[in-house]
Amino acid sequence: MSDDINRLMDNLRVRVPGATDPALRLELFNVLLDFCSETNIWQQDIEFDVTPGVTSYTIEPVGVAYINRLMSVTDANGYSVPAFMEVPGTITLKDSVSAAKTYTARIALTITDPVTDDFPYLPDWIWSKYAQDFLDGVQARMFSQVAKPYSNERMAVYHSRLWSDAKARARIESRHKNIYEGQRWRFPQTFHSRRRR
Amino acid sequence: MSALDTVQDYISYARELLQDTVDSPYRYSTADLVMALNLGILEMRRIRPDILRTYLRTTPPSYSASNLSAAVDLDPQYRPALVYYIVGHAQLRDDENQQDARATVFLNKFVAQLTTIAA
Repeated sequence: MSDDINRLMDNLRVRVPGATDPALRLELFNVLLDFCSETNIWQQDIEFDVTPGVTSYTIEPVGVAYINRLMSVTDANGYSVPAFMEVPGTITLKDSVSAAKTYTARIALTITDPVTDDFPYLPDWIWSKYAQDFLDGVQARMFSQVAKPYSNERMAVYHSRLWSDAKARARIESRHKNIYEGQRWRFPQTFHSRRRR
Repeated sequence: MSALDTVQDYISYARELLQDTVDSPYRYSTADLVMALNLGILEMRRIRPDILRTYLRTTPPSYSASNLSAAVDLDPQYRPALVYYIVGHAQLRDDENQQDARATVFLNKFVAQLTTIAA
């Protein structure tokens, strides 16, 4: 178990008094599933060979993961290829190819079973970067449970807001590939006027 | 090694609270106290399923007076609560007013420790 996970669990044991470890791990799984599903933070590029006359291809992620979304399909030159994924893991090209080639599918993943020591597999950098946010997510879910020593509606709402903000932030960071100020959109200044016309 | 690991530990501590430590014979039989322990676990399963998470899809564990060395797999922070249930349940069968009140106190303490922090 990594230091990040150990520290996360220690923080939860302190902040959610009366909670049992199995209950914390159960909610942590739910939080991680929610996070990966909503933010597309965990992505992989999978190469697959395409042949003429075939439009449907099956891909599998590397490691213990579940395919959640198809982000894009590109050819060897980086050009986008129209495709969709009605069933996770099965890519269907809009058009069949005329010659054999290799395409690359970028997929968004989420956690799945089996878990090790009750913790699902997640890349280490995600644990490191978002540990504080996972703390908010688990607390929100734990405090919202009824008839528990740690049931607390106000704190559940508070941490739930922080968790929603964290997911939104992670979604944007994922989209901009963690580039500082990746989005610098400003309202068009040509429309900025103090004069009356 | 933490306290209240085995069935015998629970029975011994419950006997201290029941002031029934002299076997000549015991006022509350070992079989009765082990039954109370089993019932307490079922109550825990009802009130706090997360404490017995490993048994959410199976039958909760059941212990016997013939194997007092069996380990009771319970989160350490909730072990004293089970002792209070055993004591309260044992005193339920007494029909004196004072014992009824004591039984109620112990059973309420069991529930309070499962559902509140400062109990």
